Amino acid sequence: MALELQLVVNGIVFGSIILLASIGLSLLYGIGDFANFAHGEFLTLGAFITFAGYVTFGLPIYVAGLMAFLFVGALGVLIDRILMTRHRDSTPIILLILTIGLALFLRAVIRLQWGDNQRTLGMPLERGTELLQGSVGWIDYGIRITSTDIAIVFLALVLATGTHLFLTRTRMGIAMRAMSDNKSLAKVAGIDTDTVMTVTWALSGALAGTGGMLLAMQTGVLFPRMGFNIVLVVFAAVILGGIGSPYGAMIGAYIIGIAQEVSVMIPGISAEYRYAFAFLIMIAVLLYKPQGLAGGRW
Amino acid sequence: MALSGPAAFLVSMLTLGGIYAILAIGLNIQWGQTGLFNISVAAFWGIGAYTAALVSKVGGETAFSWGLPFLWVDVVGFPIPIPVAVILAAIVSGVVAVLIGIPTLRLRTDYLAIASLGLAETIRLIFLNEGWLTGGGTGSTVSNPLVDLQYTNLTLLVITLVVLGIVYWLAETGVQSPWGRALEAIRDDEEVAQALGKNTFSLKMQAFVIGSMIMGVAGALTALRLNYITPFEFIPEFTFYVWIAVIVGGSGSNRGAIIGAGFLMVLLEGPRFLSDFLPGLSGSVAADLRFLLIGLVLMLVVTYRPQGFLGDKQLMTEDNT
Amino acid sequence: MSDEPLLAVDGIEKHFGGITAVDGVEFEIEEGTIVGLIGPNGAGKTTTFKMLGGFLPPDAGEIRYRGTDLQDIMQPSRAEKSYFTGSAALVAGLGGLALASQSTPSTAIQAGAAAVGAGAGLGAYRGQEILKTRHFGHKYSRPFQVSRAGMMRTFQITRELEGLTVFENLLLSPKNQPGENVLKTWMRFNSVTETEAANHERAEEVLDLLDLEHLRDEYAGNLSGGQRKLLELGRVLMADPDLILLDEPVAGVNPTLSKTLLARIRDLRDQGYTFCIVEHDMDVIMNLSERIIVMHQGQKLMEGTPEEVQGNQRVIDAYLGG
Repeated sequence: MALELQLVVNGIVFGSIILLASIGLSLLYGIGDFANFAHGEFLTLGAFITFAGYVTFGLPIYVAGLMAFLFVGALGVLIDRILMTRHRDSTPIILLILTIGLALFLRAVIRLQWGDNQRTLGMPLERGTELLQGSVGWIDYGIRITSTDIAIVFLALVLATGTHLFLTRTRMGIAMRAMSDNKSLAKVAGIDTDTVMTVTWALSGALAGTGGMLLAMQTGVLFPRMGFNIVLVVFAAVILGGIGSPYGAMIGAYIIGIAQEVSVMIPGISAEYRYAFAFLIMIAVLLYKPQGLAGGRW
Repeated sequence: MALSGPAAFLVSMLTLGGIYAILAIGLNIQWGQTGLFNISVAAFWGIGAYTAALVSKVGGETAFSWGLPFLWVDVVGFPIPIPVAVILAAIVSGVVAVLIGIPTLRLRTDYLAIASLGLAETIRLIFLNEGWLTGGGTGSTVSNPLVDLQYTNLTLLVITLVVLGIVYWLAETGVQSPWGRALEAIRDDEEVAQALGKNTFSLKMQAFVIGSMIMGVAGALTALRLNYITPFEFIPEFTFYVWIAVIVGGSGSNRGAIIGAGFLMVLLEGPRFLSDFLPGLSGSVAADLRFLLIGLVLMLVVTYRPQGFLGDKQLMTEDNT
Repeated sequence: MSDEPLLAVDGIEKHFGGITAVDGVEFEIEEGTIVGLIGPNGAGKTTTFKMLGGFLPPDAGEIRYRGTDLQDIMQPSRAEKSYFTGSAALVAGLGGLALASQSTPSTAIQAGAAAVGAGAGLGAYRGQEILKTRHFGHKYSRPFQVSRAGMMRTFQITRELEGLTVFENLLLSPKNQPGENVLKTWMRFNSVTETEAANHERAEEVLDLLDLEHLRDEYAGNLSGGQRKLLELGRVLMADPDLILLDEPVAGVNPTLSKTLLARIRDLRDQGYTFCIVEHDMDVIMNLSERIIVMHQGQKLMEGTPEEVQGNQRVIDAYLGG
């Protein structure tokens, strides 16, 4: 039993990391109607900016995280203004290819800046606190949680709640939801769809930047491919939750996160195939319930 | 061996360009002709390469006792000619394509893109982790009979060009035929094709499998070129090299695919020349610049000339989803 | 069989979520007639049309074409079934082999595991198919088989294949083209070139019939709305079906062209073709059809000759929003 409970906890932590990336990706998918393949690079960039702030400049980790939030958000605005405004009426295919190009470009920039080798964040190691220690018969159970784990889950939930408030309480948030529902109707209703797109890019980037920071905090190591490695898992969470639904993405992120960690227990399949497991879930969802868990609702 | 200097470089570049041209034609059948957004090119490329490597490794290295110097590779004690190894690579790629096509070819364009990226990543993980089959991260040797020839690289170039010619002929004949017409109909509007009595799933499967088999052939040639293959030769990023060739050349045009492959070679080798002129530029920086350039070109082409050199403008600008 | 009409629709229903789009509609279409299908917006005409063409499976009821249920027409062929079954067995067999080869070096056990895996894959696939069709009432939607059986539809908003020329659009239609088998093309079967030549000839005839020769090599995307309607009719004629479902054939077509089109449809009826037409233009439908089916709120309001329909108070009420 010890193992299983620990895996669920690990899954929740991992789910919290992909949670932020999933919300951003889902918003962009729903409002802009395209799959952003550069989202993984947003994560990587967030991680490396955290690295720059924490290691290079010696700032406190959460200040470095704020830098990642702001910087990647600003990058989102920049991308939208320079590149995407020309493509407001382009087909999803063109946008898909564009974001692939953007992904390769950003990854190359990251490589040029920080090199190909692994970097370590070098946060102080901790043993973590044992919880629920005990045994039933011959089965021992117990889980170990570090303060970093708690910080990750807490931060992710705070930002998710913030996003929820933004989407429900502000004019801009409501405009975003309207545009996701029906673009032409939103335009007719006098919503400045151009600005909404820019804000969506900013929000999507900022959330992914923070997600990158959480990823760096949890794994401790950084490399240029780290975001790309989990972008597929993020896609799986978004599709499972229902494309365009940030709430669906939240549920999807935790389900995928936990499922992926628990999949380690399947006999005969080595842990290296964890990502492939998320991919299988994704294909199944696309085939049998393409509208996802949220089923087209918000 | 016998060639050196610029001539050797030229032969090597032409071979690589030929392999990219074959890959681009394969992708063009899937994307340009049928509208299947496949980003698992590297996976089928790798499957072809590993198949060729495995086929060549079984059995001893006694091929030359048969007195047929460059056509024979050994398998299970029986000699198998290189063409057969190439065809086996195509068949294995084709079978994998069928199995993968069954669940994924029903998907919408953007879902297919995501699913095929997942597939490419999964297959890369298999290459990396199933050491008993592929040699894992350290890679797999190819017992390449070409190595013992006097003009190894030149022979490979000739083989590549012959294969390219055959593949081009097959693709072009297919495209010009009623089969190609039906695929084009699916690309434009799948529901109309259904209303006209076309079994669209079966036709999409055919295009996907034939394209993947062509990629497998390119993989076998790559195995012969490298003599030693590792999973890192087939990372998903390389898929976009082939996409560049197809998009720059013009989606839907086989001649464009070949021209695009030529353009890709310039793009890939450009940074290397740059590092000759700029002494401060290290090899790894040149490699990064290469990706930078690839990304930039992708973005610029779809923004300013989505139909590429010779392509079909409709394909890129019409909304078919 | 002889008393069975060409098409018999028997109590079909279609629900979308909580909305009932079509609610127990039934009618018959006799061979060699023109039947009109009318009704105010939202009456369920388009949904009915989709079900007739096999694009939507009905939730209940039956559509019989020449006495055969569409669901039977749309069954996957035996070859298709065995191809899917074989793939499932292959995947599961490889899985079994991979699992066994991790834990034991014995070839016999590995082979056994592969066989067990293959059997399990085969069983699982067959099982879910049986479960799906018998117990969850899964209905097939494979319109290409309906089309091949001889019932073809056009689209309300013309959907030309814009990347193809007018001529290529026409050439696409004919059934059983050997050239659509790529292996036959590569091996240069004589039948490929012969059929293609015959189809070329026929396409020229159809171009002539519809007055489209001057647009032969124009991309279909560049045609006007009326020309597209003509091309769509031409495409259907190329396939030579028995029953043609026309969705608003003269909407957006100029009056002269529209007159030609209607005359053409009548000629074709006299040659033995059967039509079912959805149309908003009442003059057109009254002039053209022998029988008219009126739909309202998903149900059949009435059926009769144009005269009967015109004088019917319920029909007038329905159209006036009663």
